[in-house]
Amino acid sequence: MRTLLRNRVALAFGALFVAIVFACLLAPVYAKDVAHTGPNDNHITETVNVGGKQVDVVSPTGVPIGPTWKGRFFLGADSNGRDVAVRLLYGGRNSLEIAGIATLITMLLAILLGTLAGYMRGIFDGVLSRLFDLVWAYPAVLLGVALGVALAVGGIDLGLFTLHSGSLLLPAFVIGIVFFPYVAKPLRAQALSLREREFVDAARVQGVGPLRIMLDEILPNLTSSIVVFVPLIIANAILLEAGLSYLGAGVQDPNPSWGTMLADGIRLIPGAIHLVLVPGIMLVLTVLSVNVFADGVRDALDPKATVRGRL
Amino acid sequence: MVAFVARRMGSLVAVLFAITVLTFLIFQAIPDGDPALRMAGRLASPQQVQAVRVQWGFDKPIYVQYAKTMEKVLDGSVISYSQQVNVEQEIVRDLPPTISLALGAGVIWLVFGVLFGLLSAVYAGRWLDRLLSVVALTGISMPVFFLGAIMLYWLGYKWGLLPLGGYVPLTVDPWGWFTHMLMPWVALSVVSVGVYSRVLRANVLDVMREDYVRTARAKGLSERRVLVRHVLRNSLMGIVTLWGLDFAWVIGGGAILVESVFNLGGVGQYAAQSIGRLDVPPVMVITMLVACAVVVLSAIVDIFYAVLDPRVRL
Amino acid sequence: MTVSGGDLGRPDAHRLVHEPAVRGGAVAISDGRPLLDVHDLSVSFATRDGSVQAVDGVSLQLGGGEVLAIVGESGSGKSVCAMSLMGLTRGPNATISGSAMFAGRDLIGASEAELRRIRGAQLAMIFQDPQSSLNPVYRVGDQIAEQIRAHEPFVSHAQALARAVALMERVGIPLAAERVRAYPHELSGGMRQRVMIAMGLSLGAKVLIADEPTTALDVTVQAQILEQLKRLREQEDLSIVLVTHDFGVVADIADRIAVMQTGKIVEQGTAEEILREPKHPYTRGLLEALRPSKKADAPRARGGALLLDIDNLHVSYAGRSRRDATIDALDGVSLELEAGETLAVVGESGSGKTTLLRCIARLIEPTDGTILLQGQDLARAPRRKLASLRRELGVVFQDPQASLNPRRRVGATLERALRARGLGKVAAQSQVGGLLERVGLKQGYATRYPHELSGGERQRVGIARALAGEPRLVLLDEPVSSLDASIRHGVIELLGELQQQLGCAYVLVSHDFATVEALADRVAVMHVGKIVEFGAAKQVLLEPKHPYTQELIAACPRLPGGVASSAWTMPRSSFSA
Repeated sequence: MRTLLRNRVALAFGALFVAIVFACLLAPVYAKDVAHTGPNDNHITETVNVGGKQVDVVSPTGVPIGPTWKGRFFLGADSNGRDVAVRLLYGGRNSLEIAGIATLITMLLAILLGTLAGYMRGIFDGVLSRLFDLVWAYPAVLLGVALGVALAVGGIDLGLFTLHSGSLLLPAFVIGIVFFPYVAKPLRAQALSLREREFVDAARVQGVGPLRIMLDEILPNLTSSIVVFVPLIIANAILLEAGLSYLGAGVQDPNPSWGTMLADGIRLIPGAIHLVLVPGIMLVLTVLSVNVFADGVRDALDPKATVRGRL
Repeated sequence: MVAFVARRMGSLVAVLFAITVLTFLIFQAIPDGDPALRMAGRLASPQQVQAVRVQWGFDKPIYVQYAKTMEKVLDGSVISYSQQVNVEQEIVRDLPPTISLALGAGVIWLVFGVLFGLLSAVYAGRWLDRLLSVVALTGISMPVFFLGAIMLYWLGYKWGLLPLGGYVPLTVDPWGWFTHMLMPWVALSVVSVGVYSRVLRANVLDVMREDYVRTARAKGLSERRVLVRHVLRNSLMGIVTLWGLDFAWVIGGGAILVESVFNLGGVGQYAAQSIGRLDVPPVMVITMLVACAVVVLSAIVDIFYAVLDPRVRL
Repeated sequence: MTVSGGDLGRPDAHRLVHEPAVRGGAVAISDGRPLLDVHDLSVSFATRDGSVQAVDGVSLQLGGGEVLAIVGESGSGKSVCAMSLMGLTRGPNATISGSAMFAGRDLIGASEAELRRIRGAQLAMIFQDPQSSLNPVYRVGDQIAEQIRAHEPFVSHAQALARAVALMERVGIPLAAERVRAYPHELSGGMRQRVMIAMGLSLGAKVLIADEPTTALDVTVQAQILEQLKRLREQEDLSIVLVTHDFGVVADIADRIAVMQTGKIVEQGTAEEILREPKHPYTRGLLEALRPSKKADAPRARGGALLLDIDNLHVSYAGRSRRDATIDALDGVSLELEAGETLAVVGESGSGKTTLLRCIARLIEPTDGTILLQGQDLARAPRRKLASLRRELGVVFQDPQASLNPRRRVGATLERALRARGLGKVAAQSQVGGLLERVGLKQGYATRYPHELSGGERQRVGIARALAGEPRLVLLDEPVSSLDASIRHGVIELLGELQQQLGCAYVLVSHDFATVEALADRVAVMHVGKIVEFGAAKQVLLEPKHPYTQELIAACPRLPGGVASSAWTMPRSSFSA
């Protein structure tokens, strides 16, 4: 812990990430008080005052205005005349929310199944390991695409819960599933080796049951790995969500997300490059700040881990 | 060694089977959805949907459905209903750009990743190492399609240094092929170069602390020999698996994301378009085939790794 | 070097057979000068916590055809000293001063290029762990050939390989022509170390530096390697600098000894001088610590019911790997133990002794046989019965580092142990303090984490945990092997006292003779899953009947006067008659 606190670079970037999250959460405030418009509000036929002149929000040739650096259309407009800054913040909220929930799903599944597989071994491990390997062997983006497309049309009804096709939880669910073996496999390996440690033997000799052993002996010793994984998964989840949404297999219109904004912008190249730069730079800054922080966490807790930065 | 290869092949077949089943389940068996409707597309008429249902066996038990699906895929007779084209023919037509992209990028990131990794390790702690770390981190944090778009805009439109997208076959115009592929290659490589250099750096630093490196020095070997035959050889082994994983990632995802930015017309772009249109048959077939290709590739990489590291063959 | 059973019965048998071959007092030099002359060598490292002085003004000499042993505990700087001679400690953080004259050159001040020519060709080194000291991806023959060709570039690979085969034969590797193509992981520990020796000799080096060469090897293999080194000294006039912590090894092979403590040499002289009449208090302390304490022949209530009765125990594995490298199996083991007694189970790795212990503790399921604890069958007990039987059982594990949950405080660990024995929460908490005191620790230790304790203290906590609730039977798996030599004595005494106080029985697995001699009433010798000899401690150790037992006892290096080192030794006179 202290090592982390001494790492000022990591802390600075961690703070940056928190700031970004905070800003996105304040999206409604910004929308109401600064930009005076919502994320989906269409101003395509309007004009706005820029440096004394009245300019079309979207020109007759379909080119929207760039950043005005003022309250309205601070970062410009998109091809539908929507305020980019507002969409950026709302989109950020969506993207981050999805990434957060996905990370939660991944970690819960991985901790639960990884520990079970590693400690119980036998049939449990046999079945679960095959499951991990199968999902892991399936290329992540493809799996995300497949699930995303399949679910986009009709949603999913698993008895326990239902997700409708417009729901944000759908991409979160998809991403959560795609990533879980990347965490489950290492956790399983650790549980497996912890199981052979003598303090587990000592507990078994005392007659402690397997459930208690997993909770009291194994899990606490997994926490440092878990903590190292969390920011890593968050970073990758943000990127995967962006990719899926860019392709159309993630967040669906009209919900904004950094990925969909990028898709709009890239379509319009070479015009209106701000539509590419704004969400792109935002993405890079966010993911970078998580990654740097993740590095700091890893240095502090487990310097020997060589975890890949990109899954 | 032979036993190892045999075992690996055996598990390969099992995984391939599992992949096809999984893909099938995803697309055909998701609860609360009509698979026929999904396949036929949103714009299909009820008769068309019914026709699809019969053709694919959706009115029959699930293993029949699976059999019919696999039959169609292996036959090459999967049709995209909304586009009225044969999916597999489209795929074959679109292969050259994707293969050029994947292989070219693979070579580039291998060379540069190893180079930067070694530099970082040798100059560990100094400014070059730190700079490369920052570059690597930024590379990992960037979505490939964003990077591609930026390069296209600046290098292509603004400064006119490189072509504005599109694909030129190698056999038609080698130089054109090269200039058209350069930006997509770089876009894809940046991420992997970043990862490699960090992993290689870590590996090299670890290996240098190993006892057998100390023995090598105690034997009186020249420093160069120690570095190349002992340090490098053992550090690079880890990269092999990594390269395999990354190559799989490119085929399995990077291509999809980058090809559309540069309008390369490859399989990835076809997949991207189909996704955008929610045209299910091509997505299913591409997903299945690419996943299988990736699995085969992993097996090859594993075998190659076993050639390098005799301990694995046990 | 074989020992026949008849010799061992004689009271002075230990003197007869195993008198270490001590050479004459003066340094055996050739050309009137020592081969290696180290003068005032000092090595310090700059670390995050300041400068650490590893070696402080060390001076030694090595003559031709002699073995100089540098002895010390961990942290004494002996390895750093040896490695500095080869220039292996050079680096940006190291400050090295002094001189080491070898073949007319000062090793300390030599350039890298000069050193490289000397390394391997004139001055060779072998290390402690042959597994990690050989590159796992190259064949052993190629690694030997590499060294040859590095110094003699005109030799072809084929020629170098042929020489490698010859070298491997010289160091006693059977089937050398085949083995030359083997990978390190395909060879046993002893053979790997022979490969290292072969590499060392490949260019005719006359001086070999050996850093703990046998520490990672089994006792019988260690004996073979030492034999090999001795042979090389005799036949090839090889001089050896042997770094070790094991006085038994030293007594077996050394001509001269230098004792190191915290970087300095505290005493130096011929083996005879040092071992018989150590002058420096530290040396005396080290040798004292090796003397086993006498097992008090406490009167025992014989003829009572057996506490532990094991009959025809079988454990077979379907090829799964356990913590031991080889498949441990039990092949029809039968033992008996009375209340309050200590049974020591001895054997080498792979003998099954650990499996036996784990089986009694029901950590492993036996495939056949019975384990009767106070008449109840442990082996087949259903869960509920097992729980109550377990209350009579305590286990002390080998590695105190690994046997305590690093995330739990000492007090919590002990509390859980007490509660597992059936005490309520409040009762358990109140007894923690008492338990700690009983093992010689202050009550304040209850709030500490394992990493805040020393190795010896952690092991005491382990013992406290095993004794919680006063079980009738305590299983001990190598209880002192992981501890430094100087601490073992205290822990062994503690175990003895506790047994007196609580009247519990011990089943003790160990390869450390001091422990066995101090505690055992009965001894069982295991070999490849079977018990080859079982009986009263005096009998087994003094008059071993089975050939394997004899081999085991003969293999252990020992000090003059029969004083125990870290492995087996001949019994002291108090045992005879």
